[in-house]
Amino acid sequence: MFIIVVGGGKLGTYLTRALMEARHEVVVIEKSEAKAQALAQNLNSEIAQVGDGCDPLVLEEAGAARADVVIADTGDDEDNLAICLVTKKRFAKPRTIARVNNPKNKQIFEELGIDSVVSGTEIVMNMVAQEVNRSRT
Amino acid sequence: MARKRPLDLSIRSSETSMKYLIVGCGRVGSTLAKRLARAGHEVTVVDENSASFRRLGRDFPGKMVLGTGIDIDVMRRAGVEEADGVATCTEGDNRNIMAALIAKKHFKVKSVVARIYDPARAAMYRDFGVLTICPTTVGAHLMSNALLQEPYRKLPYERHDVEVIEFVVGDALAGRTVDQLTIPGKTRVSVVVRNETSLIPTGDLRVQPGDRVVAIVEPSAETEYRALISPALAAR
Repeated sequence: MFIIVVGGGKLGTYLTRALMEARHEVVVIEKSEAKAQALAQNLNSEIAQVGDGCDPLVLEEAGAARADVVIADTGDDEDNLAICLVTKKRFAKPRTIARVNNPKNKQIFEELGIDSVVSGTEIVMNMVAQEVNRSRT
Repeated sequence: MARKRPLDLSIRSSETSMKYLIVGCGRVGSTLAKRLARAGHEVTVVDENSASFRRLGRDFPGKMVLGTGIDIDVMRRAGVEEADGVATCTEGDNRNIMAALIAKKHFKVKSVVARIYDPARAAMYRDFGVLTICPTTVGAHLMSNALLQEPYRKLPYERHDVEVIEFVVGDALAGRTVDQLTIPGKTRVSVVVRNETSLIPTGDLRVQPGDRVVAIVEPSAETEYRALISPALAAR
C-alpha cells in the first residue's frame, strides 16, 4: 500500500520504520526541517518531505491523490483533525487515520467522519483497567 | 413613488439577551466579547492563559473560563449547550476550526463563526457548515479599496448569495431618484453618503454628483444593475 504519514516525531519515526519493514511505500510529511532530517538519518532513507500537512498543496505533492491511507500522528489534535478533513475534502481515495492525544476527542473525530481514530491514552488505560480486574479476581 | 416593503432582516433588540461563547481572548476575541456584553448579552470567554482575560478590563460583566476550546468538557463548563452562538478566534486556524466544529456538530449550536487566516482553508471549511471569516481576504479587500478609490466596488460581506456594492454618482445620472436606481425585488439602495453624512433614503431621494451609494444586489442581477447605473459612475 502507499501510505502518507503526517508528523515525523518519535511515533512517526517508529511507525514509518514498521511500515517500511512491512514493505509498504511510505512518504512522511514533517513541518520542522530538523525533525525531517533526523528522521531521514534514522531510517536511512529520503522519504521525509518538509511541509505543513494541513496544506492541500503539500498533501498533493506527497501524492495524496493516489495514497491508500493518510495517517495524521502529530502531537496536536487540532492539526490531526485538519489534516484528515483536508484529505477527505480534496482527495477521494485515501482512508484517514488520526491519532488523538486527548481521548475525549476520539468521539468528536468519529462524528466528523474520520475513518479510524486511535487514542494511545485510551489503549493504555484499558490495559490498566484489565490489570486491575485481573488482580481482583 | 416610495414603495414600502417590510425588511426581511429581523434585527433583535438588546432586550432579548442572548448567550454567546467566545473561544480565544486575544485582541479580536476580547473586543468581540466587550462589544457583545455592552449590547446586553450574556458572554462567556474561554482562554488557555489567564493573563489574556486582562484584555477584557476590570468591569467585564461576563464569565471567564480557563481551558482549551478543543475539549468538550471545557466547552460544556463554558455553557456551550445553552449558547445561541459561538465564535472561535484563537491564534490557530486548526484550533479555531476544530472548536467551531465541536460547537456546530457535537453540541448543535445554531450559529458558529470561526476566524481562519488562510484564505484557501477558509473557503474549504465553509462547506462544513461553519461560517468562516478570513481577516486576510477582508483586510486586503479593504486596503485595496482604500488605495484604488474605484467608482464601483464590492464591499466585503460574508454571505455569498448577496452582493454589497458601492458606487460614486457622476454627472450623467445626477438628479435620478433612488427608485430609478433600483431593480424591484433584486436590488435595494441602503445608504446614500453625502458630504460625509449617511442618509437612509426613501425612494424619491434624488442623488447628486459625488454621492456614494451603497446598494444590496442579488448576484444574478449584478450585470443588469451595473448597466443601469453605469452612467452614474463618476468619470475619473
